[in-house]
Amino acid sequence: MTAPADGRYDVVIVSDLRFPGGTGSSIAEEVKAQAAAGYSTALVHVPGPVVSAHRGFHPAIARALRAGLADLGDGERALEARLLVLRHPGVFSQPLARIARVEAERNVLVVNQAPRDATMLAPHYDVDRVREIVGSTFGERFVWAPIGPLVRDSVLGERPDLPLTDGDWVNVVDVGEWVAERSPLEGRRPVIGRHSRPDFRKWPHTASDLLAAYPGDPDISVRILGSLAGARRRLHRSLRRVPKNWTVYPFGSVDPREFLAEVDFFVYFHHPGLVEAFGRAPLEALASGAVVILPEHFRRVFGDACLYTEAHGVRSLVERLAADPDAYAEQATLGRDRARERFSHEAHADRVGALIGEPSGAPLPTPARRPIARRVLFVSSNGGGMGHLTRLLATARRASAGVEPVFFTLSTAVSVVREQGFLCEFFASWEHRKLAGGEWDPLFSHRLSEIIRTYRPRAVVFDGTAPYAGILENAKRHPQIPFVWSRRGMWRSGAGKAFRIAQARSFDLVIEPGELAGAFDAGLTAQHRDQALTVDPVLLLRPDEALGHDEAARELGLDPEAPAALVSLGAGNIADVTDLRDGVVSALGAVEGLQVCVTDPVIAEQSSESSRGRIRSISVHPLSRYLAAFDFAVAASGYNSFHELMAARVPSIFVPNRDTALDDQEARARFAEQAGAGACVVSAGPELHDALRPFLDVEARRRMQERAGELARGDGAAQAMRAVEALL
Amino acid sequence: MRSRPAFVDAAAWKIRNRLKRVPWIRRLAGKEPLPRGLRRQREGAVPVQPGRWIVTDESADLPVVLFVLVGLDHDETSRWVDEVAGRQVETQAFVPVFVVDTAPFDRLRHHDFAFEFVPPRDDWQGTTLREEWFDFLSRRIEELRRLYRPDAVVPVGAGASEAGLWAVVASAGIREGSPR
Repeated sequence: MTAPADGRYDVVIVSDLRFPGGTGSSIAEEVKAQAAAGYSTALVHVPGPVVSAHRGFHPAIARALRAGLADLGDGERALEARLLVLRHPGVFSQPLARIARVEAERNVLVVNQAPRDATMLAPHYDVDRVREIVGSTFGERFVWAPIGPLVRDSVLGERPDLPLTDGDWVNVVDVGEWVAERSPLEGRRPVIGRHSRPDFRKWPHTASDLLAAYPGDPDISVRILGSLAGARRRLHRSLRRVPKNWTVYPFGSVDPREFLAEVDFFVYFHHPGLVEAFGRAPLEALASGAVVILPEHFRRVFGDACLYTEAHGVRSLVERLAADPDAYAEQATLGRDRARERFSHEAHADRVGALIGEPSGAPLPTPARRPIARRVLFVSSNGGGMGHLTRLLATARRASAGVEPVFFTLSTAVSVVREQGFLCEFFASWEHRKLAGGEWDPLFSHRLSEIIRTYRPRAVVFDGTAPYAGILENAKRHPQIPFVWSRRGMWRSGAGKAFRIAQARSFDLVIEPGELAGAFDAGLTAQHRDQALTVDPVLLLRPDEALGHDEAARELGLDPEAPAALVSLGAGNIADVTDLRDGVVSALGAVEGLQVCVTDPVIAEQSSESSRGRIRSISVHPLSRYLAAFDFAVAASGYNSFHELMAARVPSIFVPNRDTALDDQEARARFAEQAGAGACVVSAGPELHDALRPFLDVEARRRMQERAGELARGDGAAQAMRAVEALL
Repeated sequence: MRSRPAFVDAAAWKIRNRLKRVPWIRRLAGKEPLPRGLRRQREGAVPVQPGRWIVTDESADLPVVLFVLVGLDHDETSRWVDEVAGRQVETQAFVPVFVVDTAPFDRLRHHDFAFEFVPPRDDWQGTTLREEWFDFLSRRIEELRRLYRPDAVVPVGAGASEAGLWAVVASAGIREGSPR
């Protein structure tokens, strides 16, 4: 914002801009509301006696200033304003070291703290002293504006003759910014949440009240944003430790919007000695769409927007509404409507308008609202190829609106994830870091923990054959987050360890991506398939996303009229495929008029040779988009290439990689051969030449395509994503 | 045996000769004990692979430099990675760890350097995450400082000068290895 042409702001707000809690948030919200309505604003910082000296501006205020929604006065240059708002009497309870004069038509002191608590012990500030300092600094004509009825009572109790506004100067929020979509309550534990500064006065006085409001009961999940400072001693007296159903996040560590999106019931009970001036956190919860349960004294502030009871009545209220989704929805909607009517930005603009009239400028564009999404973290191991990552990408691409996939991968193919439009974090594998497993595991565990803290996923989906220790540790550390293991089957007979299967117990769900060759699966997972949700084959693209023959050929630089073969033998990271690839290319190169494309996988550590005449190297992702360009393929029978080729009905000679740790590629290739949809060849010798013959025959290829068509199945990726979303 | 470009062999030859003559290079290259301060600083830090071009077997005692290459395009990132590799070849005096926000990691992997990836600003802003990317990045770098305990942290912005960059490295007490 640039200063108004006449140097006169619509509103100047003077306060200590460092207040960490509701005071700072309220200033920022009023600035945003004023900017959105066209009122120009300047902020003046007064380092008052309440806040510790070593603290910066409230982050929301800093953001508003950076976004240009207000100017920051320097405290030396005199300002002119139509409305001067001083906020927080405590700031003005001692003489101000240095403050420029602000000339204003209207002067308001927002009283967002009672002069003293209900205990009537040491006062927070002396009303007369504040009046004197404000008067000598800014002039006498101030009207005091309490932010709620309790503060009003308290102030009037001190000085009945104080000039007060008729209505309360209630806090406001941008309601639209807080609205969150919630999972239905049916079939899961209700979540009670609270958000407050770490202050003992913000907690109930007794352990009995505390545990009544926030039950240590496994049937209810309790989430606390704001640490247990002040509550811990009370808990220790009765329980000795924090209940297992509680999840505690340090104050400021989590975006309150995202925190509230996970909360069904916002419950706030505090020390009886505290005069809670307003209750900004309950207001944010109302806007978010949670049902808010408060002590009776809040009724004068929020009316029918909230439910009121004693601490010992919380549990029955929660249980009743959790069992009655219609009643829950009705109360949540009522709460949000009331927030819009009385506590919104529009309500604040009306309040300012009533004091000073129309804004002097045009509304400023406020920063775009970011919707609150339910985030799912997809974690992939690196593997020899891109199978793990591709399956997760396939699943993530089927996410519903309002679900936001984020990736954390050990694969170096980060670009592939980004091309699909997903945010991707990377962590180098132990091989890349040259570390032993024992050194790498704690590092990975720590990093995953940080990732969870940053992205706050509602579910974690891991694809890999062996869950790392860090996955299991984090699953244990975050019991409120469902962990899903996408565990590909088809382990070679006798390979793999039984304890890997037992690790399924650490997950809330095991999904087994479907195998066309499932009947040939003789591995360990096949014996435990009843513990997994088996879906159809998981493929990156839907059939309608693949190009047609001519278009695919043209994009690859092929002649659509001439026959073309694909050679895709894997990344070569597990075993050197150079000799095999040379043998295959040599055999295909001898076929007259045949165009041959050899894949150069994105993550291959050895680069293949460049095009030589009819033989060309291609590096495209996803390859399945272009498969229609090919009349047949010679390919490894890893999960993805096998199922993509079968789904695209490309007759294929499958050359299984026999050096994989677990994947039984040979079983897939044999299945394709037995089903009449392909051939299985284990070397590039004479066997390949024999196998090649039917693939050069149009009629034989057509029969193979028909067989592949008969084997087609549904969209396993969509089925997997639906299962994951059911856990959110 | 991995092949090395000719310039590396030439530089490695120079280094071996220098190692025989210059005591402080011997010390920084791990031939003699490091100053006590440097050793203590590295205790408890995450082990870092030295990269392909370090000839000493005692690379664990070399100072670690965290190069923050964020906000550059892939070509410029690659250029700086090669520049650091060249300097490391010549000096044998430090082990780099890179923070990058571009992929692929071809040059980093070519030199076998340790690196950390951070999602670039555009990717971050395309999400519903409310934390500002700058705050996220500062948290991430803070975490990396804690993990790697680097002897120097060097941010490399677009158009940064090589002289400025190496002056920062040298100011952390790693200048002895720089022959230029």
